[in-house]
Amino acid sequence: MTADVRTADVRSAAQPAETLRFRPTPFDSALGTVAMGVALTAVLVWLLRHLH
Amino acid sequence: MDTEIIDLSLRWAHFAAGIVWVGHNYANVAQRPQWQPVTRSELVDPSNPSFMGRLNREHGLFRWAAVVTWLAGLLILWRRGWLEQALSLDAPFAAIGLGTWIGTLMMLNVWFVLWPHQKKVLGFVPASVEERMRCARVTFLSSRTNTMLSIPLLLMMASTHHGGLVAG
Repeated sequence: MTADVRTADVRSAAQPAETLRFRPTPFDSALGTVAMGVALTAVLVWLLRHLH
Repeated sequence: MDTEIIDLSLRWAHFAAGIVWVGHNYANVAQRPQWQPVTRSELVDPSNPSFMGRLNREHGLFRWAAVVTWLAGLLILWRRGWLEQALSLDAPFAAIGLGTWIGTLMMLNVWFVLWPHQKKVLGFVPASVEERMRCARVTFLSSRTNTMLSIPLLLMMASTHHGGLVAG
């Protein structure tokens, strides 16, 4: 019985993950993506106006 | 052929292909606003409905629309004699020039980052399940990067004829 439980534990520990975990980024949500786009636009417009 | 007809046709092709290409990105963001990790069970069973959905969403039309958009845009600038000044970000053409550089980056992103990884996710190119799961994350970030880049790109395109950004 104990041996069976141990075998099951080992099997469960050796099971590969169903999904991989990644470091979160602003792109992980629609709002974050749009916010990044708007921020980038503001920077580029400022640069264009500043350089000309 | 009348030079104005050629210019109009190129602009038409540029807009139409651009809508197909970038519209696909916006549809993705609207339909799947949050990151949804691909699962191992999805990848090991090709008949899995999630995997089938992923496979059905893939279409070469979007990649080729990127090429048509980019080429038509370059041709418009070249025919008008604006290309060199635009790419050099010279004053009256700086905004559309910046848009051209952003569009070029987006097109290269589709073909040289997103597509090679997507081929592995979908099983067109052999790869381990772990690698395919990692590639799914790369394709997601690559697609979202293009969505982000399209926001300033559209402003640069709009400002070319209607002004407002850089004095000519």
